[in-house]
Order: sequence, then structure tokens, then C-alpha cells
Amino acid sequence: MDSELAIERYCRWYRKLLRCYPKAHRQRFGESMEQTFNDLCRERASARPRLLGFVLWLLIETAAGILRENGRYFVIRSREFVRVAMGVGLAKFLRIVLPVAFFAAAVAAWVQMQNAVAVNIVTGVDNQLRHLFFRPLLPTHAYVADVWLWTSVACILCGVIAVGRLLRAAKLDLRGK
Amino acid sequence: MAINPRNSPLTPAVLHILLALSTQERHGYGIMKQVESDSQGKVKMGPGTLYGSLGRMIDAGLIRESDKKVDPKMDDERRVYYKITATGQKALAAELQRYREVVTVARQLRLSPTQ
Repeated sequence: MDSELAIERYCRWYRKLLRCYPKAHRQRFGESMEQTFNDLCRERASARPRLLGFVLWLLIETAAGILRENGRYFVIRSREFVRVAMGVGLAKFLRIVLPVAFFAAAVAAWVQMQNAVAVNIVTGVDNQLRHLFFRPLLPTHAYVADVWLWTSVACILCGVIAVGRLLRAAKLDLRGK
Repeated sequence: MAINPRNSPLTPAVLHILLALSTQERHGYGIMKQVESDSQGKVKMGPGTLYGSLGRMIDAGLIRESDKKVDPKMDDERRVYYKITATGQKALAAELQRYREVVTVARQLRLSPTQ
């Protein structure tokens, strides 16, 4: 009878100690751990009347487990935090870069069109597409506009690919969870 | 946290748990008793080590929770049983092979008596 009371008391202590585990671990294994502790105490009590030393060993062993698990969950949470922060940072960055890139592309296209019109006026070539094949006819700043245009297009493509990868990574992450 | 990526050595706790589960499904307390029995009382695993290892092993796919069933001796249907997976069996086989190789090297160096 005394050992029953003692076991109940030790189980209460153990239940309180289990609260120190990270919530996810506690929800996953808390009940099983409590039950295992109960089994161990009952088995021990049937062999020896004095339980305190054994219970202290179990409490210390569990406390070491609590430290390990909290450390592990801290590392996992930190990694998640860094990943989310990077994702949010990239998304915010792209929100600025994409409109700028679109604007730059539009300006470059407009400059290109102006050059084509100027070339038409000077050379009398009325087909605007022909300036793509008669580059020596174009003034120098038209090449600058070309570089500007294709750089902008490359920026937009990179941005779209980056967003796609980010979304895919987030989707895989969610599936993993 | 991944356990045993690319067949790296297993921790003693993980190895003993895999050995205990290699023959049949067991619950936490059953695993503890089997580990104690397999090691002839030399390895005593507390609940903290056992359930921490079980969590990591489940995450790594070495074991999984089995269907809950009643242990006739324990008479409690809340017990969660664990069973080894195919990945777990491969990891156990690889670890035992690694041990055999270590013993072979030790014998060659005359550090261990030959059979």
C-alpha cells in the first residue's frame, strides 16, 4: 500500500518533469513515457521496497533527455526561422526588383523603337525589323539600348525562375511536414 | 535530424533498439526490457534516452509505429507498438557488417582471440 502511494507520488513528479519537454515531443511521447515510468516503478517495487534511488536515476536520465530534445528542437526552429527569413527577404527583394526590371525593359523597348524610327528617317528603310539585320546602320546608343533590353529580360527571367524555385521549395517543405 | 545517412555508424542506443525490434514489434517498456536482456544487464536505457531515440528513428524512417494492440500481459490498449522498417533492417545489417569488419581487423592485429 505504501509503495502504491509512493509510486503515485513519483508519477506526479514525473508528469511535472515531462512538461519541460518541447510541446511536439510531449504530445508525441508524453503518455507513453509516463506509462513506461509507471511500469518501471511497479516492476522495481515488486523486487525491492525502496524506490527512491531508482526513481532519482530515472528523473535525472529524463532531465538529460529534456536538455537534448530542447537543444534539438532549438536547432530545428532556428533553421526554419533562417529559411523563412530568407524566403521573406527574397520575396520582398523581388517585389522591388521585378517592377524596376519591367520598367527598365519598357524604357529600353521605347528607346529601341525611337532608334528604329530614326534609322527609317535617315536611311529610308521603312521596315522596322530590318534594323536587326543592318546593325552597322544603327547609332552607338542603340547598342546600349540593346544591352539594356536584354539585361532587363534576363533579370525578369531570373526573377521568375527564383520565384518558381522558392514556391517549389515551400511546397516540398509543406509536404515534408 | 537524420540518423545513418550514407551508412554512418549508429549510436549504441539506436543499435540496441533496432536489435530489440528485429525479432518482433514491441512497446517502449518491452524495448527497454529486451535491450537489458540482450546486453545481459550491461545497457540500461531510461525513458529519456529511449523515447528521444525512438523519435529520431521514426523521423529517419528506421522504425514506425505499429497498429495499437493489447499486450495480454500488460492488459493496456493505449500502448504504442513500434516495428522495424525495411530501411531499419538495412541499417542494422550494414551496422552488423561494419562490426564484423572491425572484429576482422582486430583479429588480424591479434587484438582479439581467433575462433
